[in-house]
Amino acid sequence: MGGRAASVAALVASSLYLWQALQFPLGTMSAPGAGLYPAGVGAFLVLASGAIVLHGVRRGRRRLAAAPEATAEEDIASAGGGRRVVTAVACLLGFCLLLPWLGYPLLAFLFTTLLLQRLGNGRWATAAAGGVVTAAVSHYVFAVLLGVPLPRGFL
Amino acid sequence: MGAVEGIAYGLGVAMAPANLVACFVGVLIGTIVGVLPGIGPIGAMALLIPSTLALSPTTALIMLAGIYYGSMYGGSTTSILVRVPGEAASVVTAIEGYEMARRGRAGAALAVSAVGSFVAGTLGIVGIVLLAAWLADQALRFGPPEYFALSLMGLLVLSRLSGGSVATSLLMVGGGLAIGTVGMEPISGVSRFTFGWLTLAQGIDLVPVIMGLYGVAEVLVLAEQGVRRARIASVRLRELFPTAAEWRRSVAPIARGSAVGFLAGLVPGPAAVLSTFISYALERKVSKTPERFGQGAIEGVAGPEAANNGATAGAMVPLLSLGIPFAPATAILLSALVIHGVQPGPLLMAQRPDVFWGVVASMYVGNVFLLILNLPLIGVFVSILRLPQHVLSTLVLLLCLVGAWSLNNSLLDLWVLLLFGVIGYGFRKLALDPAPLIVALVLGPFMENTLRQTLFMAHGEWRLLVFRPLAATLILIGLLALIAPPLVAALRRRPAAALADPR
Repeated sequence: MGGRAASVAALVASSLYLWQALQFPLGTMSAPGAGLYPAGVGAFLVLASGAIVLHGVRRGRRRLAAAPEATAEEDIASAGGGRRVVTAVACLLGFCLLLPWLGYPLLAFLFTTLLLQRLGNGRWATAAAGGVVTAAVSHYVFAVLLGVPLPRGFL
Repeated sequence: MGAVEGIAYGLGVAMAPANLVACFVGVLIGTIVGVLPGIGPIGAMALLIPSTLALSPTTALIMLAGIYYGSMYGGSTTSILVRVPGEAASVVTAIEGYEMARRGRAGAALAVSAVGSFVAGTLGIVGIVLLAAWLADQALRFGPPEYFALSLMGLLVLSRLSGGSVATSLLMVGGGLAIGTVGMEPISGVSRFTFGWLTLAQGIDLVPVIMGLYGVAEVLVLAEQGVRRARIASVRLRELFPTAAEWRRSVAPIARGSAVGFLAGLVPGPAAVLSTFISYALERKVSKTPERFGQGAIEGVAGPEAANNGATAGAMVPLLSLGIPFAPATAILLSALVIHGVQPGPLLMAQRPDVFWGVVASMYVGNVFLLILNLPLIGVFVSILRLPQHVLSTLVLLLCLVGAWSLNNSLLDLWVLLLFGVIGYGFRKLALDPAPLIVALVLGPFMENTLRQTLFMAHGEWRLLVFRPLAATLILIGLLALIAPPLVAALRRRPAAALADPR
């Protein structure tokens, strides 16, 4: 089911890419414009994703005729794992959004503390200690030793 | 500069203190990421590119290449002792190596694996010296049509050899080519697919894409699996000596594995992984006692371990001689060359002999380091597996974020990292290999450029690609690689179907 949704999403994205590519000047074969190559790539993408969708539809029909769909037991079994994945993605999202405002040192501490606690199911105090050490060491290594201009935020 | 003078000059470059340290650090990191399941050499190389910005191009390349071939050594350790392959190229070793460990021969398996890797690495360097110099000389006659055809052939062959169906691999190739078109078009200055966002005009950098697909995605998969504790077999130093019979049985597989690996490395695709399976199948086929395979046959460790190291050497040939990468790891090395202002291609050997010969010679130095590191210090590397997984995952994610930021000090790279991390996780769930996407992303702008030059040269006649013999041959090879296997399978099925239905 996930595979079929992904292939349809790929077809939609490919079609949008092709449509957008056709908005750029195509030029001629002897003087190609900015849109010629992307248009070719877009057509290739639409063909490849279309083939996958068609193949999926055919296979789905055969599978329906042969046997009923499997149950969703696997999804239920990995519910805890799914929560950890969502937490990690949310932490990454928060880091991207808040970096200019909170700055690296504070954000690295919050990011590390939260992830250590949520992924390891440990104590908050231990995770916070790990967060302080990681934020301090990584800031020293990257900002001081390697000279990477990490944002300092409001601090 | 001839091959012997070149190697002598390269050894001088590689033995410079800064390069020796870089080589040691590279192979050490490579061994560690090879030992750790989940964090592969590609993610680690991408992660460390920003930290090489302060180094000279030669030193940076020596370190990054060290991670690449060093990971092959480390991967075998966990395969043999824990039956958890540190990276994909060690999957086959887990079959025979772990069986040997169960029978108390873990030390012998580790020693044969390390020596086999060393021999293959050494022979591979000889192969690079002989082949890369010749190929670079030939490539000076290449024009834009040949380069376009070579890139196209690489992508088509890669689509056939990558995991999953050909259609999904081709979609990956298309995705990589499409991502490569984002940003300002260099000739007309038209901003493509930027949607009015000025920051996107600089294009999408390869490094955060790789960090996302290989680094973040791997961590998300590990997070989903939860905490797992490995049971590690202990190995004492005196057990690290194979018996005379074990050595005798390993010599020929190491030689065959080295050759198979090097040749596989020249072909676009996941050479390191493929070569181990080819070598394992070959050893089983030529063995007089194939029934021992699956029960701890040392040939099944010696051959594949030599093969994956030979493949890393072979994969360096198209990169160093043509400036064209056929695998994600060499794509990162190419990216590092460009970041450091070195023009890759057939002139690399003449214009930057320090980079070319320095990197080649450093691979030999690195192999010596690896042999010394991997036998006496095996216990130290294995103890890395005791590091809690959630701590490792958190550190990797933070390193990915800082690494992506430090490339251009741009939030765009962080968003790209996050986006491709989620996409990479989706790929893992759907069992899709992102390698074709990475290679296509690197080759895409180059292909557009060479295609344009070809069309200009031929006044719009695309048939120039067909009338130039070398270009036509390369395209034909790519197309044959794509359509020949299903065609042959269909032809084989037809007589069988006719026999089953004699009407």
